[in-house]
Amino acid sequence: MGTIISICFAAILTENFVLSKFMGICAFLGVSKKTDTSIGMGMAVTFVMTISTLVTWLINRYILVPFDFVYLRTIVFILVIACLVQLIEMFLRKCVPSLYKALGIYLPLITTNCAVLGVTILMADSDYTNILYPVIYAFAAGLGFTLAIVLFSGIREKLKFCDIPKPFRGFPIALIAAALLAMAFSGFQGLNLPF
Amino acid sequence: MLNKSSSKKSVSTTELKEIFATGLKLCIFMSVICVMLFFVNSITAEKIAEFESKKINDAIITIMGDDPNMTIEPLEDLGDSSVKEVYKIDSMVDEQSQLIGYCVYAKAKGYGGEFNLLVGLNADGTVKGISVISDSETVGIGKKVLTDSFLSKFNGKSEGVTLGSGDIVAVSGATVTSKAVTSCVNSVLDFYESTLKEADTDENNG
Amino acid sequence: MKTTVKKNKVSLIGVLLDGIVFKNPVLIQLLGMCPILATSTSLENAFGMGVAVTFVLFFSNIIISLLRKIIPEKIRIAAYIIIIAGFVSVIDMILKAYLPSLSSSLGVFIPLIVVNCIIFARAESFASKNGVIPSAVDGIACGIGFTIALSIVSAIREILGNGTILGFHIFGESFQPATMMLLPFGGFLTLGFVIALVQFVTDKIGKGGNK
Repeated sequence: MGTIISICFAAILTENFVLSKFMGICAFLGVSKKTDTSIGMGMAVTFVMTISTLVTWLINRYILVPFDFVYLRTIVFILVIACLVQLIEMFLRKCVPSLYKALGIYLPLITTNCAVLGVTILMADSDYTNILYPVIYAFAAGLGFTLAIVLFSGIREKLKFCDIPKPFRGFPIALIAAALLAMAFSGFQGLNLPF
Repeated sequence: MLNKSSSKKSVSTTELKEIFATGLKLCIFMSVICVMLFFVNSITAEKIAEFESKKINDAIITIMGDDPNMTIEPLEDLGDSSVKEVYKIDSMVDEQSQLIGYCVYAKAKGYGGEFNLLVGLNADGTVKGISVISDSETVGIGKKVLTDSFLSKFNGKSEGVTLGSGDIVAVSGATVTSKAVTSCVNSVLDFYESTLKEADTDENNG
Repeated sequence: MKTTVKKNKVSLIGVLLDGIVFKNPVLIQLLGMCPILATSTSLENAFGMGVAVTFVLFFSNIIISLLRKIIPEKIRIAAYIIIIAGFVSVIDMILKAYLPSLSSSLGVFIPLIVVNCIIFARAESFASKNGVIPSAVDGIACGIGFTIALSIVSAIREILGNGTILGFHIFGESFQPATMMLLPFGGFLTLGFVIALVQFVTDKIGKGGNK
C-alpha cells in the first residue's frame, strides 16, 4: 500500500509529467485555454495513458522481451496508442457527442501526446514485476497531467484580461506562466514520504 | 428492384476488396519496416552489449587496480532489487586465490532517471571506490554529484552512511542525486552484510 | 481574358529558406515544443537531438514522398506513423551503439521523436504533396531550423545556468551560475522569451514592409 501511495505522490507532484518531465507540452499549451476543455482533455489523456500502459507493458513483458523484439518497441507502442485513440474517438462520437465536439481536433492529437508514449516507455523500462504498479503509475501520471493542465487553464483564463505587451501575447506569456507554475511544483521535490 | 439488390451486392464486394487491399498494403509497410529494423538491430545489438560490459570492465580495473594476476568472476543469482550484478575479484598468487574484494553493479534513481554505479568493495566490506557507468543527469546539477570529488568521499565507509554527517555533504542544488548516490551505496553495503559476507565466511570455513 | 500559367516547380532554395528561417517549425510555427524544453540543458545535447530529428525528418520525408501515390488515403496516418517510428527506432539503435553517452543524456526523448509534431506536420503538408527532392530538402531545412531554435535556447540555458558553453567555462571556474536556468523553470522561461523576441522581430519587419 505504501508503494502505491508513494507512486501516486511521485507521478502527480514531485515528477509531474508536464511541469517536471516536460512531456505533453504541445497539448498542455494548446488545449489549456478553457477550463472545461482542459478537464475533458485531462480525463481522456488519463484514460488513454492507463489502458495503453496496461496493454503495452503486457506486450513488452510477454512478447517483446522473451522473443528478443525489444527494438520493435517504439513502433508497437505507438500503434497500440493510435488504435486506442481511434476506439475512444468512435466511442465518444456515439455515446458522449458533446465531449466529442468539445475536444474536436485535440482528440486525435492525444496520439501524438509525448506524455502517453512517454509513460508507456518509462514503465516498460522500469523494473516493476507486478502489472499493478505500472498501471497505477500511469493513472496517477494522467491525474498529474490533468492537474497541471487545469491549473494552467485557470491562469490563462485570467491572463485574457491582462494588458500584455504585443510580443508576449499568445505563446510567450503562456510559457512564462508555465515557468512559474513549474517553479511552484519544484517545491514538492523535498517530499520525503516515510515509506 | 433486381437491379438495386445486385448493385448493393457488388458495392459490398468492392468495399471488401478495398478494405482487404488497404489492410494488405498496411501489412506490407509494417513488414518492410520491421525487416529494416531487424537488420539495423543485428548490426548494433552486439555493439551495445559490448559497450556496457567494456565499461564495467574498465571501471573494475580503475577501482581495484590493474593487477595482471587479477581474476574477475561474476557471481550468479545474488542480485536483489537494486543490485544488478556482482563480481568477485580474486588475485591468483602462487596458485592460491586470495580475495581482493567485490564490485557491485547497482542502480539508483536520480533526478533525470536511473543511473548505474559500480561500487568497489574491499575484502573487509569497506568501500574502495565508486565509478559511474551511465546516467541521465543534468549538466551542472546532477552531473556535479557524479564526479570523483563527491564519490571519493565514500571511500572507506562500511556502515550506514548519512548525508550531512561528517564530511559527506550533499552537493548544493543537487539534493536528489546526492541522496540517490548515498542510498545506493547504503544498499550495496547492506547487500554485502546480508549476502556476500556470509558467502565469504562459508567459503573460508568449508 | 487573362490566362495565368501555374508554376508547378517548387524552388529548392525557397524550400530551404522556408524551413530554416521564414517558416521555422519551432519559432514561427510553434511546433515540437516538448523536446526543446527537455533537451536544452546543454548545447551538446541540443546538437545531438537536432541531428537525430534531422535524420528522421530527412528519411521519412523521402520515403513518404516516394510512396505518396501508393499510400491509400484512409490509412495515411497509420502509414506515416509506421514509417516515422521505423526511422526513429533506427536512429535510437545507432545512437545507443555509437554514441551511448549522448543516448543516455537524451534518454526517453529519442523514441519520443516519433510523436514530434514537426515530423507529422511536414509529412502531412509537404512530403505527401511534393516530389522526392523537394521533400528531402524540406526535411533537412526543417531539421536545421529545429536545431537552430534548440541551440539558441540551449546556449542561453547553458551559459546562464552552468557558466559553460559546450563544456568550456567562459566565465572562469569560480563563477556561480544561475542553476535555476537548468531546471524546468528556466526551460519554460527561456523559450518564452526567445519566442517573444521572434514575434517582436517579425512584427517589426511586417510593419517595416507595410510602410
